[in-house]
Amino acid sequence: MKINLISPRGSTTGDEVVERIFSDTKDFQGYIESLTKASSSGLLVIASLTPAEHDVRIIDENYDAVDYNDDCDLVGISAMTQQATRAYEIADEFRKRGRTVVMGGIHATVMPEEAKKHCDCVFIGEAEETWPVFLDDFRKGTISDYYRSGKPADMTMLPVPRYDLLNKDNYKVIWLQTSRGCPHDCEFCAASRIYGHSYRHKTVEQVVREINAIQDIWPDARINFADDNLFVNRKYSRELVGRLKELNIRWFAQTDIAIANDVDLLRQMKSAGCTTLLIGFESISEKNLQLINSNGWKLKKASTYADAIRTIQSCGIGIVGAFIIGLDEDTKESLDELAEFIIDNNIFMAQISILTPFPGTRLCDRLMRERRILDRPWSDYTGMQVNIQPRLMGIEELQKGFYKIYQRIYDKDVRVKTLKHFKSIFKTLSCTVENE
Amino acid sequence: MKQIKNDTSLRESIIKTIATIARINEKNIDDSVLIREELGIDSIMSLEIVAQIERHYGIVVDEEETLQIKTVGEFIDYVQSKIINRCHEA
Repeated sequence: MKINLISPRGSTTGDEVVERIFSDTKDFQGYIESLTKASSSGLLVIASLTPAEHDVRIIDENYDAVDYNDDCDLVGISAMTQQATRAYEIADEFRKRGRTVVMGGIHATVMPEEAKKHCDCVFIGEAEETWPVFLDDFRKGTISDYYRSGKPADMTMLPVPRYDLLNKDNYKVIWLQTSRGCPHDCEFCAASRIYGHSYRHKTVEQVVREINAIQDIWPDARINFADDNLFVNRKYSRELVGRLKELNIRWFAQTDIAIANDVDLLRQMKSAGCTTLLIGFESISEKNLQLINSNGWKLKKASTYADAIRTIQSCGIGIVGAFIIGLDEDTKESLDELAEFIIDNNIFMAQISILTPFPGTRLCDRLMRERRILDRPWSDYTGMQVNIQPRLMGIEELQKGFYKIYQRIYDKDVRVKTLKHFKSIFKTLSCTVENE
Repeated sequence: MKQIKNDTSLRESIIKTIATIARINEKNIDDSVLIREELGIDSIMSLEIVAQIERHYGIVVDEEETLQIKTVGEFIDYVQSKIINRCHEA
């Protein structure tokens, strides 16, 4: 059987102004591109769960054209919300030609009925358990409308994703997932709707095997760990970091600000090849943080932000600070304060997102009740366009405030200040290494 | 601070620094290779390389200028010109 697994095209920003700011500062930050042009790790897992007798192809529409007349037996499409509109177009075209189309991924999981209108069956949740069942049903001609995962996948049983199916020349950064689940219950987070709050991880040996498989294809690969929070279990983290040191890779990960409390681990991470960490600060306003986390975890950490940033970055690890604007307490003035906070604290890079009511989140439910969700297409759900009526700001005012922050933090003088700050950190660190 | 004996040793030394910091096999680095697109060296790795080279050769390089440099060969030429300027100033 011939199976085409398709990742629909995603827009980089979906916004001309931001596109221009990123393009003008590309020498400084290539981070956004590594996110939007990333390989779809979900499809690689599905491919690895498919018996070898089938011919599986991965089509990443960011690089490859979709051939609707291909003589495949089955089409599988995985999409995030911002890719959903395009995913439906692709699905419709294949179905017009009589192909069986199935959909999964985060958007289909939270909007299964909507997805079903465009395909033959929908995968809800993690597909490790349901994909083999579906393949069997498909062979027998008895597929169901929905395949819902009954329990969280056992990460220790997952095979190595089929990195070999990717077109080697298209990817400079490879995403690798070691764990699923995050203990923080953030109102805006959609990932936890699929993966839940209990933290599950692969074994260190599994991760090493995956990295070896990646290095066989891309010997000098940069690895981005896709986990929402790589360092939840510190014992595991230490063991993993220790092994990463032996593999001579450079890598990026996402975590929370509590990592600043473990300077020894930070130093180990740096010497194991960690270049940057994405940390979700979300806001510098205590009132906003109060609303985000039901357990108040982020609020409790807010007063430590400046010290924590200094601690992490002085270990030679750059922070990509993730902030959300358009939160209920945000005003024009608070957006200006955020830009100055980023600059004053020399945060290496910032990822500013406009509050987006991703379907399936508690935020979406609340804003729907408050009738504050605008009628915008899924393709606008990039985090760079306003899709809600802000509480204390106008829609235009928030969009302009978003541009203003990026223009301010990527201003030439600010960039030079940040670059000098980091050069000075690296000079100090190289002195320390020489003196040891 | 190290003295540069000739162009070859400078070249080898810079390539070794790039390879060590960016964790790339030295064999994959030659003059024509693109620093960002082909070697995957981003701005933070560039700064670490620059800091090391500044300390090693006692020169000061402009951070913005180095980010504009496209290839390893251009970077080596740039560092060499800074070393020559430093020698003239001394």
